This record gives sequence, C-alpha cells and structure tokens, in this order.
Amino acid sequence: MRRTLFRMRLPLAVFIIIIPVLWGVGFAIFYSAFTTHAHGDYFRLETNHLDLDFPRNWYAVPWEEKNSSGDRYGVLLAPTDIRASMFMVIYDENAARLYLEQNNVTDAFSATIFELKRLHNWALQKNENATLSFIENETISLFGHTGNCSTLIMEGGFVDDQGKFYNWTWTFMSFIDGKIFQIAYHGVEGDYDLAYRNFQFILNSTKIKLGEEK
Amino acid sequence: MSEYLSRYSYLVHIALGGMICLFTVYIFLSISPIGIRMLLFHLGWLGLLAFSEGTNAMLLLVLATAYLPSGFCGGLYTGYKIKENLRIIFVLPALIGLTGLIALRFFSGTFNLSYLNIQNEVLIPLLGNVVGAYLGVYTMNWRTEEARPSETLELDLSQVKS
Repeated sequence: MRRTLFRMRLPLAVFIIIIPVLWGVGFAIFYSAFTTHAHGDYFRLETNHLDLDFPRNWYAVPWEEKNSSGDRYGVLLAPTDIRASMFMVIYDENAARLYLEQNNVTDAFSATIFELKRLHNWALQKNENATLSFIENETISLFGHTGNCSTLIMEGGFVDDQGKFYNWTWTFMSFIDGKIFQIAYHGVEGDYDLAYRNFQFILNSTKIKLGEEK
Repeated sequence: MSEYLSRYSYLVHIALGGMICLFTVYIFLSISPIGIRMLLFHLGWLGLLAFSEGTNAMLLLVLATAYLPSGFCGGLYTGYKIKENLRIIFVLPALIGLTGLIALRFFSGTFNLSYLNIQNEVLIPLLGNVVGAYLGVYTMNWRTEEARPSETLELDLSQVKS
C-alpha cells in the first residue's frame, strides 16, 4: 500500500487536496445557479407565492411561517451598502382572518394605518421625540387588486449605534382580498432615494399569486 | 499510580484537542463567511444566497474553510500527544469541539432549537470536524516508508556450505 502522496504523509495530502476540491465544487454550484437565475443585472426569485426580480448584489431572504392559525410567506430584500430594505408578506385566508380580528382591521387603509402606528410606537421606544409626517396617502391598483399606499417620514425615527438620530422614510402598501398582501420599503435619510429606483423595479417585476392555489 | 496518571493525561490531551478544535472553528467561522460574502459581492453573485443552490454552495465553502481545518488542528494536537487507540480517540476532540460550538451558539442566542436546521448546524459541522480530526490524528501518526525500521537479513554462517 502506498503510504505517501507527493512526498507527504497520505492524510496530510488528502486534507490539502480536499480543500480546493470543495472550493471548486462550491463555485461550480454558484456558477450553475448564476446561469440559471440571472436575468441581466437581476436575479429572478420564484417561490410558491410570488415571483420577482431583484438586483444581483442585494440580499434576498424568502421565508415561510406555518402554524395551525394560518400560514405567512414573505421575502426580505436589502442592499448591502445603504440603509434601506424592502419586505413583502402574504397572509393566507386563515392567517388573514386572524390578523383582521386581532388587530381590529377591516380594510386595506386601516391595515396600513395599523402597521404604521405599530412602526411609530416601535420607533418611540428608541427616540421618544420621533414624529410622524405623512407625505402621501392614496388608493392604488397593483397586481390586479386595489389597495392602499402611504408614504411618511419619521423625523428622528432611526437611531444608529452612536445614538445619532436620522429621518426615516417609509412606504407601506396593503391589499386585502381574502388573503392579505403587504409591502413595505424604507430608507434612512438619502438612502431611500438611492434605493427608490430599485424598489420600483422590484415592485413592477413582482407577480403575486394572491388568488391562486399553490 | 503511573497508569492512573497516564490515563488522566490522556483525558487532558483529548480535552485540549477539543478546545483547540473549538477555538479554531470559532475563529474561522467569524472570518470565512464574511470573506466568502465579500468575494460573492465582488463577483456580483451575492443575491445567489437567496436560492437553495447558493446556500448549499456556501455550506460547502464553510466546510472547506472552517469545519475541516478546525477538526484537523484539534486532531494534529491529539495525534501528537496520544499514540494509542487512535481509531476511537480521533472522534473525541471533534465531538468536544462541536458540542462547545453548539453551546456557545445556544448561550449567545444564535442557536434556536425551534428553527433548528439539522443539516447545516449539526451534520455538516460534525462531518467536517470528524473528517478533519481523523486526518489530523493520522497525519501525526502515519508510518511512512522512510520512517520504517530497516529490515536486515542476518546470515547464519554455520549454514553456509563451504
């Protein structure tokens, strides 16, 4: 039996060979995934509940939460270089019913207001002087459903690690049609404007399966 | 008495091997995922981590850069200090290292039992540590051809017929 390889002890040689082999396989899988999901400067994310395109260097985290009171699905999208992100959440019929009952919400407008109040209360825990200023509040039609969209600024709503306060801009949308579909995107100070074009692109590329069966 | 001390020192060396394994995996795990993400960012591939293929590939790279080398380091120390019962002993530093890692994650709040991903958080680290420790232990105790004592033929002169 041969006991050395390249004049090294066999286990050492095997260890040294395994590392680059694993790297090679890992990057081959990455490349294969890249060729499968790349659409120009974007990646196409397709889940059971929504399809969307997002920029290639953004984080995207799809998630599901299933329990006896209903299922929730969503995706979190965030760039790595600026303080902005986007959330999409879908409640199935059971989860939507529970959400409406528990939060005393009746329509898309009241759902948006409820979430914004919750957000403001959360910001007040960090800065009790954070104020809420509505920029616009409108009825919108998206994905074949009519919903509500509100944009607002929380002045001093974002607090960084050094305790410095920043204005925080949020846009929140709700659609209720048996299921509930909510979208929120936000940015700190000018980061909202920097990410706005990408937010709009993601929104326009999104196809939700609100009324469809899985 | 000396046998008792010898057995005791075995346990100490196994525990030290496990601690080396834990220390190195902790260091490598705080460096390698960040490095891999930076590399993906420069390639414009960071978004691939949203897909299952991407997370599997990431896991392979972390296996290669953190779990295998840390098991190997723990195994090297254990193999250097202990020369007997290697077939059983090589597993112990790996298990100590993994148990320590899980305990560290649990107490720091990053190991959630209700959302436990057994493959990513237990099986792959265990595989990496055990294989690394096996290779490390046997690297220190590998008998090479050069190291073997040379076998000499002795000639019995009485049997030589003139």
